Amino acid sequence: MKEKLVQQDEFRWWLDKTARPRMNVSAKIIGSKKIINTLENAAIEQLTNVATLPGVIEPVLAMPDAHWGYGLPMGAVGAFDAEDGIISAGCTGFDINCGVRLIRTNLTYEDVKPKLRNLVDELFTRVPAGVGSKGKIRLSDNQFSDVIRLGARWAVENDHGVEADLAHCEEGGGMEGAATKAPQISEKARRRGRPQLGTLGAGNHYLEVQKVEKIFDESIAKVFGLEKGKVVVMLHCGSRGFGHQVATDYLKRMEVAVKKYNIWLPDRQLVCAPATSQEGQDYYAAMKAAVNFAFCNRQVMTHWIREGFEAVFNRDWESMNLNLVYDVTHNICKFETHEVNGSKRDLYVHRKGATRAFGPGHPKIPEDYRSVGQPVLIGGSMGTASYVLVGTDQAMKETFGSTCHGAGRAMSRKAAIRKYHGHDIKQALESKGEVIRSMSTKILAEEAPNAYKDVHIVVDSVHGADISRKVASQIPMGVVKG
Amino acid sequence: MDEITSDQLFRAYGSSLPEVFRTAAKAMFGVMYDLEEVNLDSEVSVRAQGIDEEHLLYDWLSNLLIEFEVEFVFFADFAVTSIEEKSDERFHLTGIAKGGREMPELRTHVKGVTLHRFSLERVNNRYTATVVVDI
Repeated sequence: MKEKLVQQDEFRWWLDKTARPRMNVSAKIIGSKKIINTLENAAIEQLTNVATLPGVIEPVLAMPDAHWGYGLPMGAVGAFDAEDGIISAGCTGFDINCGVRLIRTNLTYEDVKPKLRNLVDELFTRVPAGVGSKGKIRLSDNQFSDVIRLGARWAVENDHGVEADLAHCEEGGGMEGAATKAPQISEKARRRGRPQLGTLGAGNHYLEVQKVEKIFDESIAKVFGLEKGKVVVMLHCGSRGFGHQVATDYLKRMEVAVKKYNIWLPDRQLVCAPATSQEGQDYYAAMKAAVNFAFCNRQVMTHWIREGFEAVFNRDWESMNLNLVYDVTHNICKFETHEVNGSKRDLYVHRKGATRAFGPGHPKIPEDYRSVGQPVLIGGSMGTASYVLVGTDQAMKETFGSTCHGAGRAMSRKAAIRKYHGHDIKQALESKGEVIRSMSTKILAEEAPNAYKDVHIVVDSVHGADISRKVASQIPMGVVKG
Repeated sequence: MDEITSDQLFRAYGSSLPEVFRTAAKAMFGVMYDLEEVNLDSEVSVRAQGIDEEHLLYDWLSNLLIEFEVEFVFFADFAVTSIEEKSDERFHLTGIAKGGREMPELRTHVKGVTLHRFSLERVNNRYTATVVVDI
């Protein structure tokens, strides 16, 4: 399939809809030649699968961090007409509203370095991590309903944050219209999610203390409150077991819907339902609940991160300016309006391992950032750089306001475990001065920096294509992993 | 075991339905940790249902993930005590998951069972389950 890609310019590749039978639209890949050389053929085939679905809008997109996953590749965007298209639990994936938030500080690298070990230990103690980890918050049944209805607002109303945090979250930290109970939300999902609020989870999720290494755009960095040499904290996690169960429940339900509505699927994982159907709208309401859980989860942990800094530096968090830069989601389906062939169309945009990147002036961007565009947070692999980008008008025109989400895997997890040893990874990173705390050294091997693509090449591609622009980059000082 | 860049595919085999359900469950938890590191000191009852045997397998594996997270037991062995087709025209399973409460060293976290390449095939008396899990 790769041989059918047509290069449009340095960072754009087109796969025409004639590439294989049943494609309704063409696909586009954003990335340099180097990115295309390493992209798996199977990931390209998965893009063509999505292009066969009803009501799909041209083009189906892969970002430079795309890699072969299940159903839609990770690092892809599929938009569907809100009337004639579909909503797909499969395209959204299991970790609904897996996302990243960035908290700034006014502390310099030199302020933090002497207390770094103490700080990372403190954060590791305060933020529960690991498989099946249970949170410190005990929720009643009604409280859990409030969490999934309100999102991060629940945390703020319960003394785990401030009103200003909400303004700096995508969707204000909560989507309206979330379902809270059966029949949209199963008892299984509620049971699985209830003990897990305020937990990091495991695998690729992490909490990282970082230093702002480079500023690429001084004026926008200033708007986002980022300064070279200052310390920031990045948090990467999602909706935990609650979101995983919502996805599982609707994969089953949509498998039935596919037969009921006679939808042809090239891959069973792409199960979906017509956007206007009961099944489609029930999923959308249930997905919103998982989105809200994840926003609340990150908000609760933000509070504990602030408390951790207070304990180590013996000052209140306000005086250290531990304010939220932004919170983005990179696994979600969103109802959005975009210009398609010169006219406004209502769409369901599925971003799986892709980040919203709205350009300047969009009403969904917080007021204080609106003139420059939406902050986009790109988590690198462990031990490498992360980035803050900004959304552009070009993204609005070309990618349904979307960009990449991270480095993207280059090596399977099993291959990484075969090739690397967790202790060696830890030692190598610690020899560079980083402090690593993890529940498992095997997870460190699986998440070895070399198992991922080079984040710089990924970011250079989206910057080169102008679907987002570089604002700042950060390097890790300390990492907490599940 | 096959490799997908971000996820994990496994195949499990059995000479009967209960056996392939057991080996598939062992394979799934074996993705997360070494089953031999677990002391079998706890048991959890698990039920599943589906419109056919393949959907029953999906429900069984998915329900095991729920019990693992909620009961916080690291499962390492499994027994399927019954599989029946009932008057509601659905297949019903009852089984037991055995494991320990002490955490083994973890390799990764299985978030869910995908439908990508998911299948349960029977050739003569040999069953093969193909499963991709999201990690």
